[in-house]
Amino acid sequence: MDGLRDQFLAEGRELVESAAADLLALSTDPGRIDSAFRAVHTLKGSAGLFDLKPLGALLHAAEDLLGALRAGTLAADTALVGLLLQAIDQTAAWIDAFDSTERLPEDAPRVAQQLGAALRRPLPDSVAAPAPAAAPSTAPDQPWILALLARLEPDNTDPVLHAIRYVPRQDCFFSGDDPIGLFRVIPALRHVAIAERAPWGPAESYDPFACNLVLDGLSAAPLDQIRAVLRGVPDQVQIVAVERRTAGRESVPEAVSSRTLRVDAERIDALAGLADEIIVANNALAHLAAQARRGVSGETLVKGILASQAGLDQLAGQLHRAVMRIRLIPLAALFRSFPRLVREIGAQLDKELELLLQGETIEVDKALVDGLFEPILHLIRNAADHGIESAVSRRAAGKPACAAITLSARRMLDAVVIEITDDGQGIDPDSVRRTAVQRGVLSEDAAAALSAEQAIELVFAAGFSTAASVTDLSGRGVGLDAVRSAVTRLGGRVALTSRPGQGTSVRLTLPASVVLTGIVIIGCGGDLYGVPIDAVIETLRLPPDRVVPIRSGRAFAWRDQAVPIFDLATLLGQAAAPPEGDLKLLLFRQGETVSAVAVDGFSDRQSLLLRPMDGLLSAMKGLAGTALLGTGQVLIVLDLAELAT
Amino acid sequence: MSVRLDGDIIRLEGRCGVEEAERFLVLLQQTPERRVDLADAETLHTALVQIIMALSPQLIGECGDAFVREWIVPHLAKAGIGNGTGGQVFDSTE
Repeated sequence: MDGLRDQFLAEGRELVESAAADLLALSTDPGRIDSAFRAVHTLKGSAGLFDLKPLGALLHAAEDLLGALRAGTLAADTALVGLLLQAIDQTAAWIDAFDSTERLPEDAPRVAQQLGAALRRPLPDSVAAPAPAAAPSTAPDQPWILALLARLEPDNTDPVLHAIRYVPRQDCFFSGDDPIGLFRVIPALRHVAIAERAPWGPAESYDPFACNLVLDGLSAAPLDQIRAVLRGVPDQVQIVAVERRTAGRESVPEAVSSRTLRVDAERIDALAGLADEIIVANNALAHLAAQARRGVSGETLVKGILASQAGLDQLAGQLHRAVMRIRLIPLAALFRSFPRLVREIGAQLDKELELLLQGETIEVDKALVDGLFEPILHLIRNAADHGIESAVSRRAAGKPACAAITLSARRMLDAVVIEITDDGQGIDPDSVRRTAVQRGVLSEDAAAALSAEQAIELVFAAGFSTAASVTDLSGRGVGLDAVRSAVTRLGGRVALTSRPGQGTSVRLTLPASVVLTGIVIIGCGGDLYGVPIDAVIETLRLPPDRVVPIRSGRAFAWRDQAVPIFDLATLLGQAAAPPEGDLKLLLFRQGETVSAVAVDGFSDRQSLLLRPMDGLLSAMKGLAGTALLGTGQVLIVLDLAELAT
Repeated sequence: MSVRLDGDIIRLEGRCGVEEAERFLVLLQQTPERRVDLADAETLHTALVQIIMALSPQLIGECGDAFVREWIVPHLAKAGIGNGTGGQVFDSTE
């Protein structure tokens, strides 16, 4: 039962999201009522598998209302959509409750009754009565049905089809059945797929009297005609009605991509293919090992090993890419929750807001989708709260009353750029400077020395808020600095541009996938450490006479600037090595300034998979993560900028 | 007789019922290289179709059973069967 429960939870959440997305899109695309109806219908069916009666009752009421909207007996206005969204939200909450406590909250029957009554109130009396059970199931979301639908003639316009699955009993020939003979007389067949149930064994042991087939078909005939043909074998037949949009087949692929296939089957196939090739490559290596044991000459072995290594190297690369592709999911999974949130935020702030989405088909690593929700939500809230003016000010400035917030994504080489842009009042650099000085972020002189761009960046400083009042929405201590650190954790950067009176744009640049990181390996006190190559400006040897003592520290002149020298051993809490000979320095960027760290030596550069620190180590300062060396040794990768502060 | 051996060709003719299945199977098991001619077949029983699916002999002649020709033969052809010499090349519907 657990598998069923897990599937219900996963699928239920997906259906909730897709229903919500459909409802929100109704105003611009009324056709999505079908998809919303389907999602709610399927949810209701799934809920029926568990003891979740209030949920079933609520979804039934929502389904009735959606049915009336779909049939055109009611028009979808904001109030009705709001009611439906409320029902969907309640469903989401109950699914969560079921997940954590195995049951619905105590008040569920009451809530279902109230909300259900509200949903039924707009319905004409005839519909309001619980509908009689529809004939067969109308949910075409089983893989075999989707496979059949995918094979239909492209110009097929049958409004209703019946999907038929006939699994004849193994001994059916003895009772005189001819399954293909039965199937061939089903009227109005649109597609037939006959396949073996279990793999065919060897020809010598084939049993001619055991039926081993699954017969699937699509028919446009009415249910009773199909049933009449198959009346002799009702226990072996499954018939599912498939309602189709008259516009054509567009609803079908949608269901395929968003629900049934969580990972593109093609990608799994590619992975399976690679696994086969790795077995082959391993066999080649085993052959070499056998040769080595037999004492084959060194030269032959070396050639073989080199060839084998090259092959494995290529395969390893392909495997890595294939796995990365599996982890890629479209940004739509992240973006689709925002339109509803923007509606809610707009209602709370009493501002008219519109969210425009762009580039949601771009695929990114799952880690990004998981990690970016909070930062983006924060930026959108911030834009709505601080960026967008009141309706009065907007009108005075000659802007449309409805403010636009754009959430867009685009791909740039290996990076994904996500931009949150508003058409609000922009950020006033002077006001930022004043506030920063007031809050003690920096001195008046330092603030005055900043360019307008630099001043605007101050909003990312810890605990900064330019709004006159701390509102419910943003503020409350969590500033934009939280956004910056969240994005940095994901390997990304944040940049902000603003034009007074025209709006603000925050750009998040993120790696599209967890890519291999170039790492410089350095020696210190007998141990090896890594430093991400991106952080390194250059490495150099410095004669001791160029080192200038400054107070307790040391520095040297590099391209007209004084660069402080840190000792890596000291930073790591080890005993400082006695200076002898040239200093080996690694120059790195620390915010806007350049610093250098003295090390024992440079060992190597390698491309490694950088894993973030977890557990206790994640709290340690100055560690970027770990990487596994080819030798199996774990390399600690340092975040020099953080270590040296 | 609806299953007939003609040289190295097994011909299925007329209405082929379940009772022919065993003989058809034995002919193919004895000599797997034998080709199967379906041109004069009117209807094929499931048991015979299943043998063709399982043992995948080389097929010749356009199958006389329209249902089998339309829905089953193309998928056999896709698996690389039935495109040999001496007969019709079956088009896959793909």
